[in-house]
Amino acid sequence: MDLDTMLDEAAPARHVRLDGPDSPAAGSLYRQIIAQPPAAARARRRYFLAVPVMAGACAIVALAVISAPARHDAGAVVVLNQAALTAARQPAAPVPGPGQYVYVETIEGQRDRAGICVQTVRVWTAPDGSGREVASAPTGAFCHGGIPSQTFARGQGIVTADLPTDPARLEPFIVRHFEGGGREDVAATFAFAGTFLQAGAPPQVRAALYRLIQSLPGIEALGPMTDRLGRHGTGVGFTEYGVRDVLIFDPATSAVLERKGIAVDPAQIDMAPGEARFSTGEVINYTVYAASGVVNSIGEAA
Amino acid sequence: VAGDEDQRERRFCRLYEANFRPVQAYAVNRLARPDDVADVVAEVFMVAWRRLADVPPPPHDRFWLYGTARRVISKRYRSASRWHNLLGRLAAEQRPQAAERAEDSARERLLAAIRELKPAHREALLLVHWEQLTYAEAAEALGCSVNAVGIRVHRAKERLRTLLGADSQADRPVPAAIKPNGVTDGS
Repeated sequence: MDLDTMLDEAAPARHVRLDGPDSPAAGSLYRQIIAQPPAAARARRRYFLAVPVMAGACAIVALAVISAPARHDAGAVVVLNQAALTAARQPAAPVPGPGQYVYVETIEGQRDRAGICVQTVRVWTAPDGSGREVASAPTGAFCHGGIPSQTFARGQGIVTADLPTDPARLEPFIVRHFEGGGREDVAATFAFAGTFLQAGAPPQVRAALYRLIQSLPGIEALGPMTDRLGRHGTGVGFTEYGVRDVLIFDPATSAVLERKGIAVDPAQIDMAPGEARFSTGEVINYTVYAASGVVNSIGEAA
Repeated sequence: VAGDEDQRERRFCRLYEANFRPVQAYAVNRLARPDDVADVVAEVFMVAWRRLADVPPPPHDRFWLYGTARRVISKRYRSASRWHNLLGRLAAEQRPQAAERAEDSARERLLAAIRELKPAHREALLLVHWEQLTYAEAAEALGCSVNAVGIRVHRAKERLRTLLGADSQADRPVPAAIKPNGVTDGS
């Protein structure tokens, strides 16, 4: 069989029965959608999935409108410049040898219908990018779905030692590899840059990540902040579509402590049918970077 | 105003009926968990309902919906601190299903190879082969040039042939009917 035929026949949708538009599920969805008020007419609206969701019926659809052009905040430039300098001065992170893994432990929170669902996620990544992710069962009476535990193959994990150390190359690298090569997406770049800061990246990579964040339009300095584990740090943020993404880091070491999304303008966040609207200031998701290091086996904590 | 609303709903109804199954197939082709598929389909049509004025007329509406679905999927997990891309997740979850039948082993190898592709190359390839779009239609969905689609698909197939080895008939030429003009550079 030639490659084109193999490709055509490999499509998963060819191997499952799809619902038609006249199915009960499709009809129910249609009625829920058209019950939503039409968007108010405005020029040049842009919508965006601003809030990650837990899988299942509790999905939150967050579509919102850009309201103002992004600008650089002088305070954020200063804070992030200092963070980059601090990062560059840090001793090199331990490098995993053969048979070793970079271990990262996070606490993930996601607002669900009845409150925040919380999972502890532990990830072991080998130097070749293979590894294992183990997520605890979500807490909360109505939590649904969540982050699955899974094994990933060589090349699928993120090896931060391989990231570019030049901020100008770092952004296109992140966009190409982690955002599908699509158009510029500041929020996603901000989120990925924050994520990579934690994973035992070499000092020059960490410095480049802070430089990259510094260069993003609309980054704000948020001053002293405390994370969910009571650790003190400095916050920077990025607000879009009614949600402020916040990154808290330790200015003394440049270590990232927590990332979270806060509803700052709930009116801009459209909810799925039946979902209660966020309140102003409500934390709608978070990632606390609890621990990291190099370990000798999957299952071992740092 | 009521007449405008009726007209709006009629248009959305036509869009929904004509594209519900293709959008569902798009999601199934990229996500393994039925819950995720249902969520993405719902979100894509929610976007279409709210942005109906921006949705182009048929047949371009379908490419617009595919582009929306791609963005919805790529952004769903953006703060979930994942260390690998969504296709990695897809792979892990599809493996036990595929292993149920011996004849699926070749397909499994192909799916594994597809996961190794660069995301932009992979998406162009899947739009052409799984959504059965022409290069021009895929370019519309991706917001890039027809040439860029051709380059990405070509690169993707080259990489697949390398990954799969000789049994994929690596030297098979690209059919002239879908071969883009002026493909001379990478993307």
